Amino acid sequence: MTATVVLVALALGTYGLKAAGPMALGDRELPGALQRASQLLPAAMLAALVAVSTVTQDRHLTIDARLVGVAAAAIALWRRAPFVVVVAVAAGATGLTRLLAG
Amino acid sequence: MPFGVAFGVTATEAGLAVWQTSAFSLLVFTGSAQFAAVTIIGNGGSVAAAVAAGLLLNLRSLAFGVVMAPALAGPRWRRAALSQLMIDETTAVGSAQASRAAQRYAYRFCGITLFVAWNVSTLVGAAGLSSAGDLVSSLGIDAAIPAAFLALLWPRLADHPQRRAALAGALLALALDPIAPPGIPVVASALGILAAWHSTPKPPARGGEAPDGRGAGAGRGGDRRDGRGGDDGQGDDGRGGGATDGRDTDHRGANGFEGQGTNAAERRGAGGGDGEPRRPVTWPEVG
Repeated sequence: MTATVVLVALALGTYGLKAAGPMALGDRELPGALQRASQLLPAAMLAALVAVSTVTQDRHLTIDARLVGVAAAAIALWRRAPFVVVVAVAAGATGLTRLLAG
Repeated sequence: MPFGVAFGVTATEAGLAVWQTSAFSLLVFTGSAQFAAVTIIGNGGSVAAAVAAGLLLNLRSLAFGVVMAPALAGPRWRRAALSQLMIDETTAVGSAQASRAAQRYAYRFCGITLFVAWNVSTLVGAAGLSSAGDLVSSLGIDAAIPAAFLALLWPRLADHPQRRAALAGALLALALDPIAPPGIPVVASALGILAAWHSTPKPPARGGEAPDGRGAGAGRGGDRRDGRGGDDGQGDDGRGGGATDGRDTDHRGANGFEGQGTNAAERRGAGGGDGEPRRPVTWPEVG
């Protein structure tokens, strides 16, 4: 099944990335470009994940109660709330919006 | 800790069995990649998309490995085993130590602690939810996933290049979403880094290389510019057991392992552990 295949492939690939340094490179440095890329990649991809999981649904742009939740999460983050609170605020705000909007 | 539970819940929501969810946390052991992969699976994405997204997010593991390589030198089996623990926090804590032996010790200590915590919390999240009904829509849980991703992203937004990369990535993904198979937009968002490729990061307000008052390893909201409020997500506070010297160990905290600016790692990365930065500026702390 899909999840298992992803699991195995991702596990192997990730381990390969983690172990490449200790097993093979010794004291050599990582090329600058690769360092730069690995620094920027999570930013780009996490933002994409936020965007896609907030305003898309089945490949359509869909503005719904989730946006309220994510906006609330942003406020919570800005106010330095801990992770749990941020997620709870998002869920709560979305649930509340759905309740009120009928 | 809560972050691990969140993963367990998310994976189960995406349709994974408890054993699969646990296996992810055991074998992959990196939060953002795990989240991305299971989210794509949950949306019906292809194996290729899920794996690609996960690997791209984990690319920095390569940099970590290079940084920690000298400290982990030793018998092949040991290097191989310790490599599994190569994540943001362990690299940050490990590379902050003075001697190779101390580095290895701190890395291992931090690593084993986090590994256990991550996996236990994943199991709790997965096992707990699988007996619950479908609460997703009425409780707004479908907003919890983007909120979690946002929490991971937030500290990175303090850094200018990463902010640009983030904007570019998000726009790219949204543009492709209607026309590409599930998961592909997220993978393609990696190209967003091109928008920020030539930006120079500003040094953090506190300056330099070895900020003090950085919350000596505890990371409990010490000095975060991003205001993450010290939720460490791993139930771990400066786990390098006091072996940290407070220089740049304030790392993971809030978001479990993820998406953290590889601050300490980057600074060391150039010099293979001698503390000299390759770049004139440092990445901001993103715990």
